[in-house]
Amino acid sequence: MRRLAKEWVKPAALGAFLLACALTLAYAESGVQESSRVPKPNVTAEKGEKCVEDTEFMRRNHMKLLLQHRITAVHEGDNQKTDKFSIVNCVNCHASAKDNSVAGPGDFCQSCHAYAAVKITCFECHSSKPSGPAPAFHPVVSQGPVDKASPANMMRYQAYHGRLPNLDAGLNAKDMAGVIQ
Amino acid sequence: MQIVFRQLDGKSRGYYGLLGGLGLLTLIGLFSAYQMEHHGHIITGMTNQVVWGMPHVFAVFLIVAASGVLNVASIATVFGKQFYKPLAPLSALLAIALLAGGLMVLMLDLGRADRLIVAMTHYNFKSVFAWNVFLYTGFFTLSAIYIWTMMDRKAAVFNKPVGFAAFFWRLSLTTGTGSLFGFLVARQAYDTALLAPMFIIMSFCYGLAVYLLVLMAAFGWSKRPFGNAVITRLKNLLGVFIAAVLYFVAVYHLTNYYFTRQHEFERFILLDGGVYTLLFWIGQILLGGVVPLILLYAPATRQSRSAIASACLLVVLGGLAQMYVTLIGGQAFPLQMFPGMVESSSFFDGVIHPYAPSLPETLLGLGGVAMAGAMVVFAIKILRFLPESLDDSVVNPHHKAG
Amino acid sequence: MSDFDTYRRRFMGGVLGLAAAAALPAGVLFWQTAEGEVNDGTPASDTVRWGMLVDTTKCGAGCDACVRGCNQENGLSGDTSPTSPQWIRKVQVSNPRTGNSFSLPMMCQHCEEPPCVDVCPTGASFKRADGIVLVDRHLCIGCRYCMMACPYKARSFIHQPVTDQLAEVPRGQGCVESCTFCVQRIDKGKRTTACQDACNAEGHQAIYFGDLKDPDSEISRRLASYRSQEVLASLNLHTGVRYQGI
Repeated sequence: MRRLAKEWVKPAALGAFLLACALTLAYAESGVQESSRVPKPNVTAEKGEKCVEDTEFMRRNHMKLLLQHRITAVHEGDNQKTDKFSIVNCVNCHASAKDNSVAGPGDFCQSCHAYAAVKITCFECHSSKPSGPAPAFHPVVSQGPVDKASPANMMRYQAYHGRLPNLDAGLNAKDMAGVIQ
Repeated sequence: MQIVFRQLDGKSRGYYGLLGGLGLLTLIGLFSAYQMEHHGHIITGMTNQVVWGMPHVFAVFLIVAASGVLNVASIATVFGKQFYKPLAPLSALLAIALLAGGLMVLMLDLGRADRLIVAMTHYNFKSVFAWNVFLYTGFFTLSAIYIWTMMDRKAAVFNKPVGFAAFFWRLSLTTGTGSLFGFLVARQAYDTALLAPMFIIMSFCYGLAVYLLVLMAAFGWSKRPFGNAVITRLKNLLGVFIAAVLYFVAVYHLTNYYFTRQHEFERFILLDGGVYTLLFWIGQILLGGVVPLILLYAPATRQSRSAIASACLLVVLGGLAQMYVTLIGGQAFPLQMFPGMVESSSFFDGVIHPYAPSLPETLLGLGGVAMAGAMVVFAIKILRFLPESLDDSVVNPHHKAG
Repeated sequence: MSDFDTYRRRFMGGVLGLAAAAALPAGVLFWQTAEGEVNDGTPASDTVRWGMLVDTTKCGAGCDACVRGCNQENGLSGDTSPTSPQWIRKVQVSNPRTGNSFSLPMMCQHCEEPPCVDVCPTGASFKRADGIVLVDRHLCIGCRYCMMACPYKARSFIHQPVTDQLAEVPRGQGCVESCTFCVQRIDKGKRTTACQDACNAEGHQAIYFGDLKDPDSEISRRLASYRSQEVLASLNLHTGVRYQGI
């Protein structure tokens, strides 16, 4: 009996250790303690009323869309301006105001992926900065007369129009069309 | 008398020193690969003109030698020479180790090594490179099964069929490796059907040289008896292969030189190519061919173990020189888009493409060699690859002492 | 067989079984991420074949407007170091025996039978239905075999990280690239390439781009009226780029 017990010491210790690991992980996931190391994702969009699909669909399937769309885009061609799922359009809307990018710290793509610990390599090749005027299918939102020439607005203006506005001429709603406050 | 296989004791300081040294070199190679991945290939000497460099010189050499080193086992199994049977397990082990080392270098040099899973799941079957993926993985499998049939008495009945399969598989593999270059119509150094059989005969030569070196080292350093009968047979075979390689090289260059349109390229390799000419004549032909032949056959040296070992080492170095001339010399010579004309551009048209090997890429190549070595050193300690003795009385039952 | 051997065999069997069981969901996950249905826009089709005609008699020896135009359109730096990508380059050709010389722009020739497509192990180098030869950078593993295979040395490898790429022209470290016939413009409906526009802006009008399958396009009419050659025509690659006056 004692010899039997001796044989089981090592496997039992291993099992206890694994159980402890599993419980620690489960406890960590439960959210009872707020981990301050990884900030919660920042899911914002700077432009446009809504995304091309609803949020829940996007949360689940944006990867599938990207993986499939990139094949059709490269092999069949895509008009980056009008194709709904072109990554160029994702970036145009979701680029953050503060650094005009989706891949900087705390920005749209990066914050969710850092939180989920899933490394993305898209922006090693794709530009993380918006390009050109707003995409055709997004409704342009005008916020009435605009007179605040904040640095963020100036950056957005430049991203859309390709140049800085002529501040002496004054900003008007038409100029700032597509630029959200 | 039954040949007994036994693991290496592997407890001596020399053994651990060797294993540790090879392990360290492997780690340095891996670190170089990390640097290349992180900073990009700009830290290497490879450019848009010479796209395959030192890593590929080492990798292709290792892969070619890997398929050739299995020759020893094939002679035993496929050609039925009982004399070679005790030499077979080490041969198959070396095949796996050298191929693993070569592939490690090749895969770590990829511009996007993180996309290996893409290479494993997307295939363009017109590409020899894609076929090579299957050929290499199949070679691993077949060699492993081959070893199993040699070591497990119950599986010995499969030894002959697996041996045949491995033999034909590695001929396909080496043909594929040679065709990597032979199928390229773009470069004057390639674009010839001769490259495939030339690579096969080179694999026999380099593989046997590596095998003999490893065998002599393993037996010498572990103080196991190693008779002259084995060495003599192997070194004579090596001499035949060296001569065959020299023949193929001669035919390749003579044919090339016969074509007027290849004159400039042949002058480049044979006469005024600078480092490539030196490596060809002194490295590949003299040190890799003529001197080993003399060492192996001249009455003064053919009995001397150190001369034979030197010959094997020179063959290996000559092989690396040959790979450098073939791979890098072939890329250094400019493309002839307008035959007979003089071209110049901002993209190095019409000029010999400069190339200087850098430290990271050379260390990566050496790391692959070291990993292959470490695998062998480790394996012969844990499994019974080496015969206890290769004394003349053991290997040759008809041997008469004195 | 001793007890320990039995125990060892059972242990190995158990570990292998566990590994196989773990591999199954991983394999399903990989397979799942590869599926998906997205279709938008009209795909490129083979009713069209894009091609280019270069009239080298109008090509200026010192002029590199086409190169600068391409660099600007595609976000290239314009460096000419050995590791810098060049999608198009001016090649000066001279005959040492007759003294005659000419220059021409050399870029990816968009062959009908591209050697680069033949040799690419993953199929990343491919010919689109409308004849444009492209690198699918999602599939490219950076092996550079296509660069070895191209008879025109048209391809470049990106040797370092890229951070300032244009949104319309994604490019990054570790992949191979070459002239795309300005595919990002073609797909949006434009019918001229950047090199063509730059050459026309200089007033040389040496580059014509258009649909080779349309007999009424300017390029087709010119090709039917004037003699033109492919570079390395003996290779039978049936390039999409043809030259007059070489």
